Amino acid sequence: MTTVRTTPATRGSLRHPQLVSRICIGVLVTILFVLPILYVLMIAFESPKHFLNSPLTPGSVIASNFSQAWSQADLGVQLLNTVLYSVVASALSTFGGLLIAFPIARRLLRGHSLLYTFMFVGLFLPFSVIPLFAEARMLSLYNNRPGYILLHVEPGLPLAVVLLTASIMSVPGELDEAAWMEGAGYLSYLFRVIVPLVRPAPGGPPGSAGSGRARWSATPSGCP
Amino acid sequence: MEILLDVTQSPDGRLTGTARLPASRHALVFSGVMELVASVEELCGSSSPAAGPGGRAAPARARPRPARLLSQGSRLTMWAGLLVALAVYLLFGIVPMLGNVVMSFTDYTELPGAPVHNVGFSNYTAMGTSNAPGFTQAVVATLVFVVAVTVGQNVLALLFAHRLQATGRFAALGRVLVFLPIALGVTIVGLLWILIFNPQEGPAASFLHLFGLHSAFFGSSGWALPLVIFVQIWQNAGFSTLVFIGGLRAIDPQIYEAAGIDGIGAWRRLRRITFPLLAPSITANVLLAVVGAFTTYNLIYVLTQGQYGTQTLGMLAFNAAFGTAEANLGYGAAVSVALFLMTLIVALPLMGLLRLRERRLLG
Repeated sequence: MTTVRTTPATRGSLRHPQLVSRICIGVLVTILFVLPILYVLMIAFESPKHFLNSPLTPGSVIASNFSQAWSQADLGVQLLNTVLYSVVASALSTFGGLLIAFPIARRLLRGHSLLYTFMFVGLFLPFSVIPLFAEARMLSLYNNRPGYILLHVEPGLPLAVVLLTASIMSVPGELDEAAWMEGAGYLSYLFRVIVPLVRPAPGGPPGSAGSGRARWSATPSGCP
Repeated sequence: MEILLDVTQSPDGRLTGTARLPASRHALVFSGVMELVASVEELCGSSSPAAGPGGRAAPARARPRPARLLSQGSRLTMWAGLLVALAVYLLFGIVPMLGNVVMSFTDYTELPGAPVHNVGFSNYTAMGTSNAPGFTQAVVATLVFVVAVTVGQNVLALLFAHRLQATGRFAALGRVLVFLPIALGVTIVGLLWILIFNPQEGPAASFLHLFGLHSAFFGSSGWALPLVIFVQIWQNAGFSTLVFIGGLRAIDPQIYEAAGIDGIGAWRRLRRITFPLLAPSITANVLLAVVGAFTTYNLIYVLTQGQYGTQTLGMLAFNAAFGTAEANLGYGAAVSVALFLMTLIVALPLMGLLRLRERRLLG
């Protein structure tokens, strides 16, 4: 996809400002996004002593910070938990989102737009960690992995529904009808046709949702 | 409308679909995410057209007409799936929220054995009075935060999207970099900027030293709120950028070609063509930024704990419930309900307004 969509007459006059703005954006991205991340990487690889003495310059590269984190902070278990909670819970909330989004996108329900608004409101429900705790205790979901995963599914649902509804709407409805004619089952149709067509979605939106936009209720502390 | 779809049925009866998604106006939010995947693939040099961000379909197409499920079994499966997923949402989203509402009418303190009283609306009527300090300041801080973040995030994202929509590895690298903060998560993002704005010899402090200036950054009441706004924008601009890129790529290039033949200048093209046709992406981005800014408390907690004028309503709700020794969960719950209502009052009419604008611009 080209950016130059001008006629030859105007192209010459545009080339110079375009080059300037391209350099500007390069500098902006470097200052805002590359340097901060490089700085933290630099700190991660230098000794605490060197960091305290001269925080701005790179020291000799050491890896002991990582082995220390691994042993002291139980990083191994925490990494496993992070992967478990983010991957499994994202997959589940994407699947749940798909089950809600498809009937909304295809208007298979009478109150489809009401249901959509209901799910949209889920993006900003008040954080309710204490009632959630009480509920999790009551349902024996507290302090165990399956429970924690289940509690992590819900926060990803609203964004998954919002994003998947939009993407399913762009898949032509004629496709459904052809598939129903062929006798395709509901779930096999979702998995064989809709999921491949909206493939980047599983993991994508809820994954970023899980890390970036999760509500407080999603992160009760004191779990394994 | 351009149909870029190809469905085949293999001999064993499997349906396979290969398609380039037409990026219709409804798909814009989603196409942002596709954009990221395509960028990574482009960076790795394995870009396939099937995974592309969407063809250049007509900018607006009619809504798909309602489809019908033919078989009874499918209908049953659909309802079962829908109800199970909704049950999770109700059980772990709506029910705790209602519990929270109930709690907001009590003086619950979480101290074991302490009696819990029904206090009626007194947690709500206390807001803004001297009994509950910081509420009025929090409302002001929330509004400043939401407006500044929404404007800043979208302007920056539009700027990035305009330049980074191009093909080539340079732009693809830019897209991945801009999106990186979302993937890092709140805690790491917060830690990163605390290190950079470390008042003692951090990079930002050293930079100010060059001009003979000093600042406590997150520890100064003048700087803390603008810096928290900046970090919130920094973290979320990438997501908005990808949504905008999806929108920009969905605009029919023939419109630009026609404008070029008519000799319309770059600025007017941006104002008269790009901006109106981008309306659906603007709707999605503005709403997500507003909702995100209203509900943020975790980033603020990591950066300042809500001190130095950065206590928004979300942060206040957390601090009121858990922050002090004399924690009052009832009042904290009331503040979070107030925040929810405030978000609702702003977000739903805004959604209607932006949809109306879309319809006016795109027909």
